[in-house]
Amino acid sequence: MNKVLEVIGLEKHYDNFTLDKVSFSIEPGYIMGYIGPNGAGKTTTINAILDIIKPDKGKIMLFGKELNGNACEIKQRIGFIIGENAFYEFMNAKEMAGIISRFYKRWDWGLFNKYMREFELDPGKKIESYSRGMKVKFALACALSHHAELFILDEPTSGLDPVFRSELMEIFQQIISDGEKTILFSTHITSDLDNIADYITFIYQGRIVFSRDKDSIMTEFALVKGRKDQRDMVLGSGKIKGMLESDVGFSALTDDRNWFFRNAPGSLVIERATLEDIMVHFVRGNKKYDKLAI
Amino acid sequence: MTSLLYKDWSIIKKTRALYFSVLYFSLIMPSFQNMDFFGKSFLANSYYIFIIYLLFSYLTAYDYKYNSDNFIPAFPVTKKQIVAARYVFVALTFAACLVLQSVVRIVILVLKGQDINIMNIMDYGQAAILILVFSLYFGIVLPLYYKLGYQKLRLLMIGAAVISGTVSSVLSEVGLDMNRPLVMLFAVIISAVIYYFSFTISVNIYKNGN
Repeated sequence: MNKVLEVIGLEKHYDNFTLDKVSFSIEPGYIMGYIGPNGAGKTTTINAILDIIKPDKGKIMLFGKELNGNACEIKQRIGFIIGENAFYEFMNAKEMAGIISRFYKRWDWGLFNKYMREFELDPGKKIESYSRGMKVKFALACALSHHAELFILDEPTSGLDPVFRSELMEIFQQIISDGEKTILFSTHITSDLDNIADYITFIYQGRIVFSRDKDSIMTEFALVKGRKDQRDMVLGSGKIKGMLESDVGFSALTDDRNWFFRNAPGSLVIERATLEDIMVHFVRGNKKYDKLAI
Repeated sequence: MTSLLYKDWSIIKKTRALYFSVLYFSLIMPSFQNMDFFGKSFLANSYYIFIIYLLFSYLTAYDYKYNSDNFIPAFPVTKKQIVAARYVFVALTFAACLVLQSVVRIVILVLKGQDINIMNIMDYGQAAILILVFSLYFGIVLPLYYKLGYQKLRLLMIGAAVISGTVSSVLSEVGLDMNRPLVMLFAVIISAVIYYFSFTISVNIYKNGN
């Protein structure tokens, strides 16, 4: 199947951070969650995809064309929400939309007004008077009003309350319901992705840890919990990706749940791992053990 | 490109930059009445640099405040177009100042009952000096802006604006003969070359920026 987005060997070097050979791809009609802790490289990757920064190495293909050399044509087909920004906030929403509309050949005012009504936003109000959630909705209304096919959303739910976040998740699901639109959604709030993501790409310290479909992650990853005296036995399996310890025992992350079902003693507890468990164990649980299978 | 110019114009319209420009223009307008003094007035020469400086610094300040470098390049425009739009905006502001000053001059000529002809609606020698000073000022300031950013450049910009106004006045005062057509043409060509060279440097800086 044709890929909507292909990131191939992307590299970007800063003084204190390196994005190192980042590669992943998305097919049309799906939501990909791009997860990782703060400072992992999510925004740097997204900035490169949106042509905001220039990568040192690597290639970005969008809709089958290389971004470098076709940026204007490609960006006509992308809608975006970037971080905390809701554009020039001293303007009212209609004025800001007036500016944005001039960048897009297929801008549709009817669609924009429809989304503004649907999201219960007053276009005559200054954007700075909107709440954080309303600003995200406004950015989304703009992204939806020029018939974009790929939506790139960088931390859109950051700073929003759970009710607003759940409302946004519903909107994202509606967006892809026609099977033609695709969403790349970066977040460190992994619970947002539990119900809506089809694929997960996990980045940590500038490197991709994995990029795969969520169902396989949910079936293959597991938490193995046990007593302190069982720790070395579990680590010795060579199947542990991260381990956290407490006074009474440990919690280890494995990507081979079946191996533990077959071979582990009954006293070990094997539980389903959430995306948050996976991220936390990778990030916090791989610092002091030399037997981790990473 | 027009979308970027419209964006800049929308920002200027919404801010106080236009009010300040009009206020400044009305304050210095009396100096325009003295036709002999006109081409040699520090106020009149500084007017150009100051108005463009004012509008440019409003734009850059708002771009800085709202992190526009973080979202404008995500729109369907190239970085070269983003830089080009800024250069065009500044040049258009300069042209608008020249036109505005000529309009005031025509009104004064009409009020005084004097003849209006192509030679007395503008001091072409003064215009040539201003074009040269304008291209030098923004030819240096714009690449520095893309290299250092708004924060580091803002004090330097106002200092350079005062110096540029003074230099253009001194050039007028010392009677630099710019009224010969060939000299004027040469000044305009040199200015265009400086401005274009500055533009290519800025594009390079902005494209490779992080």
